[in-house]
Amino acid sequence: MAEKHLTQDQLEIISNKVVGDGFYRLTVRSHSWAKSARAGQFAHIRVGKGLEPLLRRPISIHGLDDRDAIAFLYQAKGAGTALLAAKRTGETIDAIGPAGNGFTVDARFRRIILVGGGIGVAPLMFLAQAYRAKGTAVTVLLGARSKDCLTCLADFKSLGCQVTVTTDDGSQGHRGYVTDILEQHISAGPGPVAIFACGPTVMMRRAATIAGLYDVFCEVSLEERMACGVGACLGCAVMTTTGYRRVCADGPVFSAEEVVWTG
Amino acid sequence: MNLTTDIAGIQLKNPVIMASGTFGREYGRFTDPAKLGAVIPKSVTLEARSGNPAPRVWETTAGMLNSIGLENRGVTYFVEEELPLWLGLGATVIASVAGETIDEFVRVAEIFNDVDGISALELNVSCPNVDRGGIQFGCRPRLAADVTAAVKSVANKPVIVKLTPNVTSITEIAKAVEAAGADAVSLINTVLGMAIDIAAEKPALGRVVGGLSGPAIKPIALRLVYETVGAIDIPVIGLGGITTPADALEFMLAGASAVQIGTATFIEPKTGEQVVAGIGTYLREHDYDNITQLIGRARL
Ligand SMILES: Cc1cc2nc3c(=O)[nH]c(=O)nc-3n(C[C@H](O)[C@H](O)[C@H](O)COP(=O)(O)O)c2cc1C
Ligand code: FES
Repeated sequence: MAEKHLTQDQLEIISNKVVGDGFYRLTVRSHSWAKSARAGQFAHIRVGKGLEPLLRRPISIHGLDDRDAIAFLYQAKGAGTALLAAKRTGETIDAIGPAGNGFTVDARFRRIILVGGGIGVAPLMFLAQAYRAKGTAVTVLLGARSKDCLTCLADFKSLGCQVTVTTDDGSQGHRGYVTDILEQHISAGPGPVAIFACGPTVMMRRAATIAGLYDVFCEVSLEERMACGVGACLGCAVMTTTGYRRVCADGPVFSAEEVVWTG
Repeated sequence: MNLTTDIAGIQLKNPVIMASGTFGREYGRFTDPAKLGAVIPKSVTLEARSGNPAPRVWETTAGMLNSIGLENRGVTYFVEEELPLWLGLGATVIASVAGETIDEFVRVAEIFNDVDGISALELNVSCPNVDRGGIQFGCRPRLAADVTAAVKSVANKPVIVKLTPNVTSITEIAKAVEAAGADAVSLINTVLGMAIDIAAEKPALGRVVGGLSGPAIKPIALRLVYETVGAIDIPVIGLGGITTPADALEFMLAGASAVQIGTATFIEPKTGEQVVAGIGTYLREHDYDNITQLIGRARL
């Protein structure tokens, strides 16, 4: 179980920089995290020192920078992430993790399709790294509101992924939703294919439906409000075909078939 | 220095107890449960029960709302799967019991009679997040007394009754459960509240209302503890918003014989241990040699 590596650490910040409109890339030094972290896992980070904001923030692991460094990609959109954005090189962050289960990484897939919307691309980069390391072909379908909200394009490309972009306003790539182009990519090459989706609920739900129609393996990374982040409080429960499960400990990655969609 | 605490006939290493619903076995990897006074796992009911729809937690200013809804896997799972883990970690375990009917409380208590390693029972008659079998037992002196008396008549372990702040007079409830035979009371459970998610223009919690916990409720909890200590003779365990040793000392100076820590663990898993250490430091610096010398010293 992934959980066996769960620790609380003070991680030293190597850099914390703006990489797009409101997006930040944070890298921290940790040999043990870099060694044990799996794509899809997250860190539960204490962003402040005091009691405001009170709770830790779950931030997905974006990838490995090298053997001793891991990266996070986050969007500064509230008081908590704004505090995180204010942290400087040399400071430390108090992090619990690597938390959660992670995506399936399986060499039997000939091709994988990553479906990312908005900040949902964050964990997909780590997954792209894992599959590219196995030599698997990786197609990335990136959706965003407009071209200013697209990040990581170049990073995916330099890993050798084939990237297609959609924007809601048509300012770059195909105009419309990223799931509009999912079907054509499923049938565009050899199988077995797997789909991994992370982003807005409507996007993941649509991806799950399409995967079901084509009978293709599909995992989604769910988001829910968290308190403890380690499975203790049952605060992050989502409904599944086997009852309520905890996003932080049983997820955040779930098989698309087991999710009972409500959003 | 002596931090040993006697409550309801059980002896604890120290007065710091981890509150029900907030300290799962997952925390065993970040902190040593054997260093804590006791651990109270999530409330258990006779059968497994499912919880409330998401979202179940919501951050507020210096606090959080929750509407978990007493989700648990039932008493058998607790006894067979969970309790042994806690005992294996060297924890002193107080079991929290919840139920929809008095009979359910009694039956769970009876099952616990035959289980080694449970030091005491805490009756959760104060959960605000269920339709039946929660807060209504803790809101009426008569019902609170009936549950207490029924459990006391069968239980072979000390019984602590956990009180809700969502009442007009907590001292009336405390007196009623004392008269019914409670060995101690603990207070407070969460304070009813709500939040609106303005982005969605909807209530923030799936269940609309929930229980507020964390630093925001500390002054409310402290006032209720102070008044309850003045109204009854059995020990009072104080909780609500404790995050530091100083917070814990406030409750003990107000007359609490022990304290519990809930939400603070989510922020810093080692809070319990830190509070134990901080109380020790305070006693040393102020030349006390026994924790009992501190209890109630701020009372006028
Ligand atoms: C997520 C969560 C779950 C809780 N579950 C329970 C429970 O199952 N039984 C219970 O008696 N109290 C439960 N409580 C209440 C706490 O034990 C405690 O009374 C309350 O949170 C106030 O203390 P605090 O401010 O230190 O958290 C829960 C509280 C939280 C935040
Ligand atoms: S956030 Fe506490 S169980 Fe997931």
